[in-house]
Order: sequence, then structure tokens, then C-alpha cells
Amino acid sequence: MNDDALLIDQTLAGNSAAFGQLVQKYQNRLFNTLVHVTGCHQEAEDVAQETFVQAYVKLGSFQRKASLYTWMYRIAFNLWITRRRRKRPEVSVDQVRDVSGDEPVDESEDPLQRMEREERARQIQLAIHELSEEHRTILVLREMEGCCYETISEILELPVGTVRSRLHRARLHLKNRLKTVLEEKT
Amino acid sequence: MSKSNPEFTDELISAYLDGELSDQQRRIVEQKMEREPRYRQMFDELVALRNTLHSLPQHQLDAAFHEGVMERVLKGEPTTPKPAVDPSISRDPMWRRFVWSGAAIAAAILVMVLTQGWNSDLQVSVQNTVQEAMDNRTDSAEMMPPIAKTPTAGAEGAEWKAAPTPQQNLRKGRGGAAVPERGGAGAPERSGAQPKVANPFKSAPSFGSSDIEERPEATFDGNQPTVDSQAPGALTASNDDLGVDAVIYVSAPLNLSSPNQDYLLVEGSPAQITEVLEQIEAPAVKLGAGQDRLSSNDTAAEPKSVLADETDSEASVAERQEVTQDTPQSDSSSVRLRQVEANSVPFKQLEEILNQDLEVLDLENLSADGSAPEAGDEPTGNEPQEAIGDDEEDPVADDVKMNEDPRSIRIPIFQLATDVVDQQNIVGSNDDDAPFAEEGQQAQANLRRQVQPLGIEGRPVSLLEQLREIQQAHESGRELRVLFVIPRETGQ
Repeated sequence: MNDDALLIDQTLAGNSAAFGQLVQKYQNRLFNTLVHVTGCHQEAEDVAQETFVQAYVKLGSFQRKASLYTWMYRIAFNLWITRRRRKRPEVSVDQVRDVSGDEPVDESEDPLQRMEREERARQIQLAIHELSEEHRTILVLREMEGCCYETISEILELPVGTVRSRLHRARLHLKNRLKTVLEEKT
Repeated sequence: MSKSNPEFTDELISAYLDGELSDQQRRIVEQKMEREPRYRQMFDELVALRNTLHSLPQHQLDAAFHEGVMERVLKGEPTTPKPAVDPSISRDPMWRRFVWSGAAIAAAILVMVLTQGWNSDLQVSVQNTVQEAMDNRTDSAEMMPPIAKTPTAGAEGAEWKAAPTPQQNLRKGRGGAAVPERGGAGAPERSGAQPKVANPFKSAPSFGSSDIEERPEATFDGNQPTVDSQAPGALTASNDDLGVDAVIYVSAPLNLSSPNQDYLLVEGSPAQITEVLEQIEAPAVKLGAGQDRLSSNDTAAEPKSVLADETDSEASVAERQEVTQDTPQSDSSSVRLRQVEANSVPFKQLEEILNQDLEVLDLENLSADGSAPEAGDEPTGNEPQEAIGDDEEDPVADDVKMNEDPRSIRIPIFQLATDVVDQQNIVGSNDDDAPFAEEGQQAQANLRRQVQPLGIEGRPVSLLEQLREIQQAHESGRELRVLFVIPRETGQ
């Protein structure tokens, strides 16, 4: 029995602190992914919080076919889809700047270098958000989450073949948008 | 590409990068990259892209997040997904929203009616919506279905076109299926089904700020029809979207093999509209059913189309008949009927369509039968009485063709609106692990409650009274625009 399974069992037995450990374990990972998917720091936090609360309530229905994180990510994804459909997407450049600047400041880093790095991150984040939603989501799942095609397929409920082709197109689109950044980097 | 017969496509480069290829595929890609430098370059670029993405800063949550989650968990806070409306809006009473907005937005009252003396075979529901100024709803115009935006026949006189046939079998419980019955005593039976009142459309109640809270939710006595919130197109389109003041849903037990329906857009006074509905009560619900009350009309006498000043190019959208009606108790103006095209789309296309702007929908292509009327069907202006008066020659019934899979579920295009998606069980999936199927349904139920039209306690007042009430809600008491939804098979 892995750690997650043990913590799940303990949670179901009434030990909410065990669930707290699960939250602690996955919160930043989930949040980081949601920031990229939603393009909004606050939205990502709201969805993440709701995800954990929902997961807690529904933990008894988790059949453990998938990993806990995949299951929770699916919850998060569905929540976000629902929220997004209620509201028009309103991702501003400011939001992108906001989500691209979370890295702790390295005091030893040259301020100019830091500015350049932050600007590059902002450009990348902006380019990600200029992708279509389907491309952005699949790209984030692969590149930020490191999900395999099979897992992406489960989360998005797409055939693996679709995942592969869509991911490739997403990369090509992003590569074109980031041509300048990539050339600088190389 | 199958593993048994691998062929190279450039997406294999991505899969190669991700380590998602079989050995055979991997060899193919490697050989390709050796022989053709452009593929090697593509691979190198994708690697660079990956490294770039991985260089993005990681986002961290602060401790307050964890505390917030655990606080909610320990409090046992209700955790159903938020209602499918903007939470910032939903927290406020709807009437207050409208007051705050500075402009009344959309108003609706849904009253279920099964009036005595009415054709007992028919089930009638009425959704009354008052459309006020839409100043703060700029998207409403975008979502206005073509029915209200694309006049056609207009000055050329009455025109018939075979109406495409929307299958309409979404209505669970129709014909005695799954709709919970609230009453039925004394209600006439037809095909084994008790009369029901369907609430086919979403409604946003706002009869003025003060009026709303005084209106209790609709309740019905034992003789009252049941409310079917799962009616075809239920909660899918507001009257704002339809561009009408009210929708009168004339329903009857459906034969799923031919659940076609017609639409009538009627403009007139409450009395006139009531008259029109009485024309529809004939066993065969066709326009011609009340022909003795309908008089032919030449183009010169044809009333001005209320749509005539709007866009005009989408001839496929509003194929309709315009006739005037001499009604004994009519007001000075004549009633205008328009048969609108009964467009429909397969259910599976719903989301795709919703992602489009309805303004630019090519309804002709979406319809089951988008063919133009044949020459012989097109009245000259002196023929509308014949065209609509002779049941045997009824062009609507005869020209309808179902050229697509009749088993496919269809939704009339007019019932589409942005909120449709929210009615689906988005939260949660079909997967066994899906944790939110129940929550999704709860969210939908919450939404329904929020948009639940306010009715009149007890047995609904007469249709005429309701229509007058709607009219009074208008500043000018102008004529009402009412959409009739009529199952074509009723009585057959």
C-alpha cells in the first residue's frame, strides 16, 4: 500500500489530518498546473481549494483505478471547465505578468538578468495563453505535469491518438510564437 | 497510424520526444531524422521548447491556502460546485441585480396553463418573459438567434417553405415516461399520458424589482399539469435569446418517431394572441387547423414585418408564412403569424454550435431539410389561405423530410443559448471515478431553482390575463411577440 492509499484510508477512517497531508503533498503541484491552465493566479487558487474540498467529500467514491493526483486533477479540470463556461475568459497581460513572476528573488542575481528572465517568462506565459484552450491544456498536462499520453487521455477523455496529434500541434504553435525567445535561448 | 503499419508523420517527432513510441516507431523516426535534417531540426526545436517551458518558475501557495482548505474540510462546508452562474451575480437577488444594473435586463414569468375549455388534448405551458432594456447585456444581441434577426419573405408576401423537422425527443416523460406527475385528476388522457405542462425554456424572472418577491412560485392543484423541467430544450434559451416576450409551448404526447414541431411567431395584443392559440387547438395542430378563422391576405394588406428592418440575407433562417387574421375581439391591428423554420441540430453538435456565434450559424446547413421551397409551394400572395387552409395539402406536413438519422436526438435551434452547456453534467465525467456527477446534478438543480420562473399560486390565471400582465410590464404596452412551439404530430 503506497503512502497515498494509506492516507486515503486514514482519511476515510475519520482522520482529517491525513487528508491534510495529502493536501500538503499535492497543493503546489496542482496549483502550479492550474496557474498555467487558467492563466490567473486567483482563479487557480480558487479552483485548487475547491478541488481539495470536493476531493475530501468524495474520497469515498474514489475507486483507485487512477492515481489520486490524476483523480484530483480531473476534479480540478472539471471545476475549471464549469467555471470558465460561466465566465468569459478574461486573462489580461497583467494577469500573465502576475503568474509569471512568482519565483523567489535571488539576491545574488544581477537585477538586469533578473528582469530579462522575468520578461522571458512573461513572454512564454503569454504565448501559452494565446494557444487555444485545447492546446494549452494538453501542453500543460504534458510539459508542466509530465503526464504520459495515457494519463492525459484519461483526464481529458480523449483517444491517445488525439492526444498525440493535438500535443504536437500545440507544440508547433507555441514554437512559432516563441521563435524569438527560442532563438535567444539557443 | 497503426503500430502494425507504421508510417511516418511529423507528430511522431513529438511522441519520440515524449518516449511514447514503440520500438519500431522509434527506429522509423530516428532513420527519418538521419536522412532528413529538417526533422532533426524540428526535434531540436521541440527539445528547446521543452527546456524553455521547464524553465518557467514554479508557483507556490502560501500556508494560508492549506489552512483554508482544512478549515473548510473540518467545518463540513457544503461542497457542491458553485451554481452555474457568475457567483458575483448570484449572491444577489435577481431583482437587485437588475436595479443595480440600471437597466432591467430580461424578465420572465413562466406560468403553466391548462385552461378549461381549451383543447383538452393539448398541453400548454406558457413562459412569459418581458424583455427590458438590455443595456448591460451586450452579449444578448450576439446570441440572438436568427429567428429574430433575419427576415425574409417580408414584402414579397406570404411564403411557404417546407419546414425542416426538429426531432424533439429530449422531453423525458412525454407520453407518460419519466416526468413526475403532480396531478392529473380530471385531466384528459391521451395516449395514456396525463396532461403535463412543460417548462421548455429557461426563464429569468424579473417583472420589475418589487413584483418579483411578491410572486410565489407556481403551485398547482390536483388538476394542474405537471412541470417538466426536462422538457425539450429545457433551460436552454431565454426569451431574450429568442427575441420574444413569451413562449407558448403547445405540447402533446409525442411520438418519438416523428417528434416534429412547428414554430409560430405571433405579434399582437394579448387578445389577439389568445385568439391565435385557440386556432391551434384543432386535432391536427397545423396552421390550417383554424382556417375558418383565418382569412387570406394579399401582399398589400400584409402587415409590416417587425423583422423587416433587420438583417435580410439569411433566407434559410426564417422561412415563414405571414398572414393576417381577422379576429372578432382583435384590436385595431392584425395578428401576424409567421411560421418559422423548424431548424434543428443533432444533439451531439450542441456544444460545437454553442461555441459558435449564433449569429453566423448557417442554419440551412444545420437543418434537417434545408431545401428551398419548390416553386409550386410558394404562394403568390393570393394563395396563403389555400396554402395553410387545406390540411391535405399542408406544405409543412407534406414537405417535411427527415434526411438524417431519425434516431438522433435533436434540439430545435431556437432553444440553444449559452447556458445550455451548463445544463450538462460538466462537473464530473462518465468515469467510474468521476466524483461529481451528483454535484453536477445538484448544480444544475440549483441553477434551475435560480431561474425557476415565478408563477401564480394556485391555478394559473387565464392566458389572456397573463399576457396582459406581460404587456403591462412593458413601458409602452406595445404588442407582444410570442413564440408558439407546436408539436406537429399532435392529434394525429
